[in-house]
Amino acid sequence: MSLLEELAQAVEYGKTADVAALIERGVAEGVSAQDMLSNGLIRGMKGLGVKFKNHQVFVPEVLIAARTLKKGSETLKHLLIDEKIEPIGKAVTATVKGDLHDVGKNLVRIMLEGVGFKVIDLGVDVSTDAIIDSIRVHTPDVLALSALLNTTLNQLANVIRDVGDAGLRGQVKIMVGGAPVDEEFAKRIGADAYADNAVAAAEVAKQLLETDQKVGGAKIVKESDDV
Amino acid sequence: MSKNQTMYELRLKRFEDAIALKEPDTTPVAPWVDGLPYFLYPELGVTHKTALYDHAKAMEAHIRYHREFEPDANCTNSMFLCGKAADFLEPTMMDWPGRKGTPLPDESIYQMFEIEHMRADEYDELIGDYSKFILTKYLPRAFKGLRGIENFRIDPSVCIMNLPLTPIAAPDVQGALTKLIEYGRIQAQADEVFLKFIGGMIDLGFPPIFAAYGESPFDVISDYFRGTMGMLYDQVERPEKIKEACAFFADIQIEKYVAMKDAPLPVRRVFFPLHKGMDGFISDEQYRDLYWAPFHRILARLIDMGYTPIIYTEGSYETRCAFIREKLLEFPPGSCMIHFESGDFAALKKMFQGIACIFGGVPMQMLEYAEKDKIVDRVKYLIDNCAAGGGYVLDASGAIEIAKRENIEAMFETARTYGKAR
Ligand code: B12
Repeated sequence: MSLLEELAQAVEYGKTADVAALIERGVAEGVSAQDMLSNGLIRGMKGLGVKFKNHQVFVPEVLIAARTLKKGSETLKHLLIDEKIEPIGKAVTATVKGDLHDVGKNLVRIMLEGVGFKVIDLGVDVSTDAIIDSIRVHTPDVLALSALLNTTLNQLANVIRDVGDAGLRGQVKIMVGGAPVDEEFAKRIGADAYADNAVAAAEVAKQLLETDQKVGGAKIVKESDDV
Repeated sequence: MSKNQTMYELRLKRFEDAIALKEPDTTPVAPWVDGLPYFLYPELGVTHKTALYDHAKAMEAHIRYHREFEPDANCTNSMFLCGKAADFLEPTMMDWPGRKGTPLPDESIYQMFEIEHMRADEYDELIGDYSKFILTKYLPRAFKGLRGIENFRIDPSVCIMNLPLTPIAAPDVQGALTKLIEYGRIQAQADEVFLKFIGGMIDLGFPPIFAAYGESPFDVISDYFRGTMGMLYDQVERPEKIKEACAFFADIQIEKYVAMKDAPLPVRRVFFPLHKGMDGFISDEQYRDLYWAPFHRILARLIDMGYTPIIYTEGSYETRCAFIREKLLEFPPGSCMIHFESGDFAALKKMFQGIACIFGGVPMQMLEYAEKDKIVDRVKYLIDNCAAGGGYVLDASGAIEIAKRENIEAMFETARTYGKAR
């Protein structure tokens, strides 16, 4: 097995303890940090994402793998800076005000990181003001909002409205998700994208970077679609 | 027999027939309700806050709802918590309307948030010395009002006269113990009202849907000890500890049920909401070993004692059904009821035919947002596909908070006319 394959596997199987040593070996062998990130760590997460989508692994395995990915990225950080490697885009994730469910949102964050985004996670119960501030401060390409309760669904609409009122709607693509959200709802509130699972969410976020899609033209990706 | 008594017997029999997989006179309708009655009768001014603090007043809304819609069981979910007791003990794992300083509006149901009341490395302490762990670690972490109890000790180094008990004299321990006594007094008062509520509803002709409740041991640990996230990590990092703790909690729960073996209860049913077992949350293998196995022991014991467990699954359960079917086959037919939040009810009926009574089927989103015709169609579909030969109770997909009045009317009306006409 090549070093890159070993790195990918370390992520896939959540072997956090192994990852630093593998990177050290990579450095010694002259493998670039970019390669270790994209073709090692991130490839591992992608592989796991596919397995998650196919119900071969479950939420716990993904969370453990995310820990390894994080550890790996941190270890690589200064090397990536030296190589002047930039993330493919920036994303802000949040569960909206009044809602404390974060398992789904965390998976979305993990999968976004898994395809190469730098993610700023605002956590749960996040006010519209805090979201707007973060758009101003971090200038993300994508804002990913999660809501799990019937009572907080409308908060998704409120955020989109308020981001518009703050004059920031043109700067950021907004995706929405969470169990009670569906494509119809996403379209109605003027979101740019919706996905019903975290793997698809990351893919659609990537597509949002590439397209110059009109604001609010909800791009829909569902489990059944081949992403 | 008074009319109410006659109706009580009729409703009870209807429900029991459905459970026993016998065709009832009509399809039982027993929707779980949370805030629905408060929403339907705003003129009463009852909210979730009222339900926590002024039980007698909140009862009016429930009585009104039962009188108007005549469900086949009293499925009131939101009437058994006591705000005054909570103010006193200050539980850290939730917020509730009426708490001093809460951001929640009066109309909001209480909000669980889950906290790691037990750290990942404390499983052995919990299992090794449960009482000590609960008293000196769990209680002070789970209730701000009981912080002082962490220093509770009985020190047997010198046992002359009262000496082993002297640690109890410490002011913080005293404070906590006094609180416990006062709490007990408040709770006893509330319990009296709750019992009166159940009794009053029986007098009006409405049998309670269950008489006791529990949780799967796995959920107990996830919900109240480790929290969702902590448990998800433990599933990979220390599954054997989860297994030990689940076995332990199953034993504790069984003890509780054995103690009520001959209790004079209006119905012999125990309610189990299943929180953390849905598709994707846990592998099939862990669901079998960690989640179901200890739970199964509880079910078996209850069924043995003549109780009917009500298994209330939450979330998507598509990948679990076939396995649960196999497990329920180990019990005599008609031993359990099982609720599904989603899925193809025609297929579910076929799957559990001759095994267990299924219930649920009307999506809550539909009740809140859809047009009335949709509800009529849905109820007809459910009766057409699930009601034959008993083994089905009509219910929503979850406990109803808010719904269009006309949709609730349509649900009951269609069930009453169409359920009989079959
Ligand atoms: C775990 C849980 C909790 C935990 C949350 C812990 C945590 N750290 O998250 C706790 C105990 C705190 C909790 C509390 C409550 N909960 Co809760 N909870 C759940 C439960 C069991 C699982 C949710 C979950 O994690 N799902 C797994 C994840 C992976 O799925 P997901 O979030 O849908 O995410 C996937 C997709 O939706 C998508 N996705 C998610 N976010 C995003 C974002 C974007 C941008 C995109 C593109 C995609 C996307 O990708 C994800 C993975 O592929 C559900 C049951 C259920 N059916 O889901 C109830 C549930 C969500 N809870 C419910 C309720 C009512 C509550 C409480 C009000 C209960 C109470 N009275 O206390 C409180 C509310 C607290 C609050 N203010 O938020 C109801 C909601 C009903 C409704 N529709 O309104 C549910 C459905 C249970 C039920 N059947 O009644 N809950």
